[in-house]
Amino acid sequence: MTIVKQEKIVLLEGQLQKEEEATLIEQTMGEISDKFRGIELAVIYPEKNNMDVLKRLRFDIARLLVGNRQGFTIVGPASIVKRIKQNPGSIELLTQEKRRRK
Amino acid sequence: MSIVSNVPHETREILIKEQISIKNKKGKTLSFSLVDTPGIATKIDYEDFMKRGLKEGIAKKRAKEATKGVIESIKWLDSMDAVAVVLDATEDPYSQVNITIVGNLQARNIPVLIVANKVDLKKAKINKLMDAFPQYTIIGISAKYGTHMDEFYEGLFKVVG
Repeated sequence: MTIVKQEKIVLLEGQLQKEEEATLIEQTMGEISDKFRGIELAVIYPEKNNMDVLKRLRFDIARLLVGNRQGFTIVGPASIVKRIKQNPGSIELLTQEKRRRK
Repeated sequence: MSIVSNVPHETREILIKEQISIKNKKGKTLSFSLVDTPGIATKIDYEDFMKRGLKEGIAKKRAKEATKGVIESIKWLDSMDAVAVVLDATEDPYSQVNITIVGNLQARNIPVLIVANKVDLKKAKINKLMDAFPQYTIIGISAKYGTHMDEFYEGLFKVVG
C-alpha cells in the first residue's frame, strides 16, 4: 500500500488469496483521502479448466511445493490506472496522466 | 430498500429489514432478514460526485461515508446465510471487485445468487455475466421497472435450498 500511495504500479508474482483481496480493499478504504482516491486491482489466475489431467496434477503439486506463485497480481493507484480491463486469460491496463491539483 | 439516485454510493450505511416473507408459486414460504449493504468498490473519488452536481463539501463528506460503508459491507460478509450479489448488466463483469466478492463468498461457503440489474437497457449483456460466472444462477431483472421479480424470488428459494 505504501508503494501504491507513492503513485507506483505494483506487479506481484502469484495471486492474493480471496480473503487477502478483501483485506486489501478494506485497507484501501481506510486510506482514502482528498489525495489518495483508491486502487485498481487485477489478479490473473491460471485457468485450471483448460488444463489436461497431467497438467492439472503438475499445477497442484507445484502449488503445494512453492505456494501460490502461479498467476500474478497488479495493484495501481486509481489516480494513474484509469482502468484494468480483464478477460479470463489476459488483462489490459489503461493509464492516465496524473491530474495536477491546485 | 435503499434510496436510488444517479449519484454513485447512494447506499452508504447497512440497512436491515427483519421478518420478510416471500411466497413462491408452489405456496412455499421463505422468511428471512434482509441486509442491504453499500456497494463494494476499490476507489472512491469525491470529484466523481462533484461531476454529478454535488458541492465540494458534500462530495467529500459522501466519499468519507462511502469508504466506511465499504468497510462495513466487507465485515458483514461473514454474517450472511446467503447473498444476492447485484451486478450492473451493462458493465464489464470481469472487474476484480466482482470476482473478489463472489470469490470471498465461495471461500466462506455462502450460497450466492447473482442478480443482473438493468436488463431493460439495450447495452445490457447478461450472456457476458453468464460466461464470467458459469457456476452460479444468474437472474436478469430491472429494479427500475420491477421486471422478472418472480424469477428473482424463485432464485432465492433455489439458493437457500
